[in-house]
Amino acid sequence: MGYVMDIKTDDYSIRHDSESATVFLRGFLRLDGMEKYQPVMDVLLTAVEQSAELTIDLRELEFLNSSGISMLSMFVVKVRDKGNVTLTLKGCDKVLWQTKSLKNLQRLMPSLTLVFA
Amino acid sequence: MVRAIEGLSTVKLWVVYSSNRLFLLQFLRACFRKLQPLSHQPCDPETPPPASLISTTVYRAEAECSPVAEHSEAEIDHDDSREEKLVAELDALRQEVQRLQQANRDLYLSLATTAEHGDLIEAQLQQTNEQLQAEVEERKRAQATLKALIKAISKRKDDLEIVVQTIMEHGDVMDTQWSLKLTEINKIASLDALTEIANRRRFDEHLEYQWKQMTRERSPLALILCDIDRFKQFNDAYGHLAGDDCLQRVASALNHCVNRPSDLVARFGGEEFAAVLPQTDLEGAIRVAERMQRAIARLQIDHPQSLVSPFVTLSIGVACVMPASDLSSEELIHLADQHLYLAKQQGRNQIIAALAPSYPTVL
Repeated sequence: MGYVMDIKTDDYSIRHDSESATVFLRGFLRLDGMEKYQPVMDVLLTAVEQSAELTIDLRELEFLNSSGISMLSMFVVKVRDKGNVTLTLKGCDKVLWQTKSLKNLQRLMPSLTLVFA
Repeated sequence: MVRAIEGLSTVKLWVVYSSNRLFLLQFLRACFRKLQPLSHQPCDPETPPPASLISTTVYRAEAECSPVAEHSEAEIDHDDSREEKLVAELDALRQEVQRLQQANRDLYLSLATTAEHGDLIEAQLQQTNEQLQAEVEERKRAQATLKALIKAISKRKDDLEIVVQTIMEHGDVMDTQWSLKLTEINKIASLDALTEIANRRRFDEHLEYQWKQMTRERSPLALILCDIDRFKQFNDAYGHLAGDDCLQRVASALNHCVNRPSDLVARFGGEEFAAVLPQTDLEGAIRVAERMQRAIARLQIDHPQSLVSPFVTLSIGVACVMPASDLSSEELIHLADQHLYLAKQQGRNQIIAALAPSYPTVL
């Protein structure tokens, strides 16, 4: 398995903490198209390969554009099809998009756990 | 040949048991004729058959018959005629036998052909059946594959529908989120960070808007400009933090002196404040200015360095014009500023609302 670098820019950061099996997404994710989201997807896929129980912490992800939610949807479908992964999404009920969109992701994968703080 | 020998065994039996010698002779002749085609050897009925074929018993029987033949010529003629008939019948029978044999061969051939044909057809049917079975199996497999494919595609379609809906709703909610953010940022952009009332930028915007609005409505637009008296001395005496606190309290008090949504109190700069009052004549504006003066007096912010009062006071300039397209809002500001300057000049802690003669007023 190749080592996937964490990603950090002025606008956002993606960090995989292997110890807690958690990927943290923070800031403003407004990448242009699915292709640009591939590195983010790679971090998530690598994390899910390493652990059967994965948490994605979105609490500090204030903005996510349409390509971003599309990427997240595809990731959830992949995890569901993989079949042996327990996935948890941590959201913040003060971030409007998280209160709406994360519920739709649960429709794609009913076993998905949503935790709002 | 086997059949011929079997025939001879029968002949022996007849010789032993028959008492009619004539009949026996005729029978033997007939037998010889019969044997001829079977043995494929030329055979004269009068000539005795080879010893190998006829046993001695037979010849003895014929020898014993001869006295009988001599006995009656008429009988013999009669017998000849019967014999000819029998020969003819035998010929006919032989032909019949040949025909039947031919027919038999034909039938056998036909049977063989039919059987062979049947086998062939059966083999073909078997082959076709096997092919069909294989085809059925193949189709079953194809059907199963297709079903699995349809199931997979159907699942994919459901997924995509949810994804599309998610993206769409996400787009909408992000729009809302951006819009809220924009409103918040606009609010921040139009507020003075220290006093949290409208800043100069917001003041300019609002004044310009109301100027155009009042021009259309042909309504008066009033402006109040005020300044905290001797604020520099206040700062020097109490420090900048106390100065900031003073500014905050004065701003808040002034802000509470106007009620209508179109009225706006703003920090004009430094220790200067302004109030834009649409649809307000000079008299109304002076009333607001007086209210402001009282509100600040009620605050009773100590200001020992002020020469006019122990507390913080305001110098106020009031102006009111009927906006017109050939005038600009800057002229209203200029006028109010002149009145403010006058108020300061004339001893501070007072309101000046003198009208410039060139402007129409509603007083």
